Amino acid sequence: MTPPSDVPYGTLDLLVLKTLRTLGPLHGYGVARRIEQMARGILSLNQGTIYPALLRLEQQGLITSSWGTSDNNRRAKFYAITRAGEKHLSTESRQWARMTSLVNRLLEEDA
Amino acid sequence: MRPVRTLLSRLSTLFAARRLDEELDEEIREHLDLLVEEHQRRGLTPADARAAALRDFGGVARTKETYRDQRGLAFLDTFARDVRYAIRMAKRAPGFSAVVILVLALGIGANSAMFTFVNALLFRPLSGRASEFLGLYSHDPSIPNSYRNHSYPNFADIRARNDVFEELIAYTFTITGRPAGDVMQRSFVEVVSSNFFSALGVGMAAGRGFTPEEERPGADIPVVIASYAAWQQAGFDPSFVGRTLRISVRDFTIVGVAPRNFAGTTALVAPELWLPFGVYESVVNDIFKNNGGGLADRSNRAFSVAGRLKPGLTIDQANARLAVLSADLERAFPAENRGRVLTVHPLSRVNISSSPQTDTGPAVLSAVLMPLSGAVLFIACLNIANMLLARGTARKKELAIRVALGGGRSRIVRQLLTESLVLALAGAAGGLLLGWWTSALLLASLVPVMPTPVVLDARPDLNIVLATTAFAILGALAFGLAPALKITRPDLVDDLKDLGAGRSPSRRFGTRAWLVVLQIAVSLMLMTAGGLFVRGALRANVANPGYGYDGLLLASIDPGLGGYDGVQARARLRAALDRIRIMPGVIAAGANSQVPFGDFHESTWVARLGQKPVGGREPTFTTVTTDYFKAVGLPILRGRDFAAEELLDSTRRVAIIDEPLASRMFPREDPLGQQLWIPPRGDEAPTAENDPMTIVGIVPGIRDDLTERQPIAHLYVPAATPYRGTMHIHVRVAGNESEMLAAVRRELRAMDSRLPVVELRTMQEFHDRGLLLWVIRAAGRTLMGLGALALLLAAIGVYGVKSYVVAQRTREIGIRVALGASPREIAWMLLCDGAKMTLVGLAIGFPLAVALGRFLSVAIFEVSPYDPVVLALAPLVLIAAAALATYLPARRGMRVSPLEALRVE
Repeated sequence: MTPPSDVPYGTLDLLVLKTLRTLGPLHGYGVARRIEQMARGILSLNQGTIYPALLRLEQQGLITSSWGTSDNNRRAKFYAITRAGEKHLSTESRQWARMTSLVNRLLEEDA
Repeated sequence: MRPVRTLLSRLSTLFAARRLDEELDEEIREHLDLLVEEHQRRGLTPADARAAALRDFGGVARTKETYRDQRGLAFLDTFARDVRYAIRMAKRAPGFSAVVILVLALGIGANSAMFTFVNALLFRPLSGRASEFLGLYSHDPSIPNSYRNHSYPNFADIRARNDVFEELIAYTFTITGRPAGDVMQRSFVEVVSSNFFSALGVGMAAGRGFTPEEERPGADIPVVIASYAAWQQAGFDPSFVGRTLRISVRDFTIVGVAPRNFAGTTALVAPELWLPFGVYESVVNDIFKNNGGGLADRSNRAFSVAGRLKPGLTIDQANARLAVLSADLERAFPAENRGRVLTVHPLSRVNISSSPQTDTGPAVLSAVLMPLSGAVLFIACLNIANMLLARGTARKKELAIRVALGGGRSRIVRQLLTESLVLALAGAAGGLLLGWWTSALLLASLVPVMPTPVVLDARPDLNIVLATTAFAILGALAFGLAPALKITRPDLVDDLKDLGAGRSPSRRFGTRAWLVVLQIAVSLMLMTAGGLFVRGALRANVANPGYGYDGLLLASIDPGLGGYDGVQARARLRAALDRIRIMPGVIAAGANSQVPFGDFHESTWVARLGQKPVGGREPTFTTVTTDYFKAVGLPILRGRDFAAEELLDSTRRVAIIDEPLASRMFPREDPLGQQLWIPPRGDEAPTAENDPMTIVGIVPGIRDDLTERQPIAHLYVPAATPYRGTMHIHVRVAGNESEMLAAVRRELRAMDSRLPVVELRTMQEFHDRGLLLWVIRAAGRTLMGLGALALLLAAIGVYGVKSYVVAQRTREIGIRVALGASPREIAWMLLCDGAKMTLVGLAIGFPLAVALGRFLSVAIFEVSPYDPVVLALAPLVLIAAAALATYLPARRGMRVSPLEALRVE
């Protein structure tokens, strides 16, 4: 089995947005766990890298954050996708789909 | 949109770094705790769970670092790092850094000093709300040049009718006496309306302003407001307000102190004292009094008036309302206001006049001066660019390694520019000090020669600091960018192998040589300009009005300041002359009402009887006593001097004219015995002054002013006819001037110890203290300073390039020596190389220098822009300096030993 590769540059943002879109407001741990579960064996994710990504998305106005209380009554910072984030996610996903299909076609031709 | 948003969000977080750090810590701690719990649930021990959690998380420190990079402004962080690195680099080469900073400090200092003056003239904010004030002017549109000041009653009427002005102030200037030892010093005083300080919106530094009662005509309440400088001299004594102060012959009570650097409605003119209108009659000296009228006299148009318009009123609307007001005034007081129209115009920052003035003069001056000092900064920058290039060559290996390690070119250029900027800012700080120091020096030499005290504050204000910083940043870009781009384009492989320096340069006349050529060209321009100004100043030093200064003494008396009336004053003057004339060693003595090359001139129109004046400008009008012409050494060409009786009897109307006036008025006739008159001004009724006069003598023309190239027309009348307050006794002596001066002083004191003597010095000393001479000398000194600076900088530039060339060609020289070239041949080769650079620079600079000289020629005193001495000397000095700067490295080249040179490889 090939070892899990790093998260391709730029895709982490997309994964985070998608997670928040699907699951609603989450704290950083939740986002990291979710992505890790989905990607187990395919991608290796240092959970720490989630935080700069969250900050970057917040700076771009694609998500917002607020302090709240988690399920087990602990203070945690919750992130939620904004409307701009949803729009960004849908354009980027379409773009992604186009890219992958192009790459796939090329690779298949070659084979 | 998104990048802007990111930037804003980043900027806002810059200021909350600590709180955000704590939040991140908390978030990460939380995350780790959750991970640990998770692992424990799967059955790990707490210690193992902790280790596993940290593994999953992947480097807490690195996460925080990345997070902070993302959060903060990476740009600023890098900049700070670059600055630290640049400071380290600068420290590592202290000699190089010191020279760069010094060269820059000189360049920036010259600019900062120049800008101090420009700033004072054009930009420094006026006192209080003075900038909101407009001047009120009165003229008759049907008569050209009919602008006059205002009478006090007119001012009071306009102020009372306040549909135009929110505030209206009036003021005039006069000279009063201040007792100081055995001379009466003249002090410059402003007489003002009572609302002067409050309307201008300045708070008093101590005490109070004037009251309306103190303004009332004839009130004559002896109160005075002192300048801040006077209070400072008194050590800020709390009992200063309330003290008495002797002004001329009377004691005044100090009721207030004006704020610091208060200059009324101007940026410069700073009186020593302020007096209320109520004391006008008893204080104002006759020179400034029109028609001899008092304050309540509506025909006494002695006052400047300025006002702040009602809010929302434009100048056009104000002028429309003023037209109505003018018509009302004309109806009410037709004799004084016929045809006169009031208008408002912006006030000049630098002068006070009865007609509207603009500040184009100072603006033009600034526009000429700034580029000249800018040229010095330009040379300094060229120089430093050159030095940086040389140093960059030395650092090529370091840079090549950085490129090889993956440092982007833009990143390295940024680093190099930061290094330039650090040096530039250090230079700017030095320049600021240097500029402050030089302008303070210049000011100190200006103050004693000014006819009125001025506030010219040399202390750097925000404007100057900003301008200096701008010069520095501009400089850093100018001298840093080109070298940075050039040296970051290295031949990577060669540089790493350290072959770069060994390759013989394919182009001898490279970038650096061209930089030096430019420097030489620009310094030739500055040196030529400096040389022309210095020649002018030398000429102005020895200039005279048309008679020699040797053995000529000047004693000016102003009896009015001692409380004498006109009759007494004339008697004192006669007595003084009588006593001086019989002193041993005195050849002749006579007095006049104005000294040629002095600060004050009076002129009047004159014409053949019953006719209108012809040609040229108003002839100078001087009253003289007998023997005046003999004392100064002007021969009576035809006719005779005034007789003693004519001085006593003002009904004997006689005049002496000079040749320029004679040839203008009587080109084909004999002027002797002809009649002339002073036509009445405008619509004024004729007075005794307009009675006909008979010409009794002709004298040679003289110049009144340094700037006049030709003698101009003069009219002389006996000192009896109109009386003038200050009379200047000219004494021609044989023997030691300073001993005779002391003798004259003793004689005057013996005659009347209370007689106010306002000036007592040799004529040459008087000449040396002239304001215009100061300006000419200061211009000469400043430009010569700039020229010398340019020369020094260019020589440093030549030296730098030549040293570098010699160092680069060491191997070549070694081979030549090994093949039998003599050291002299080597030196000759290197000198020729240097000479080429110098000559190309001169060839480019010479036409530019001539063009600059022609451009400046209006401002140069009596020297042609093609002055052969300057045009020959400036290039020669440059050649000599360049030769010396070439010789030193060439000598090093001569001593290259072939063995050593070849071992360098």
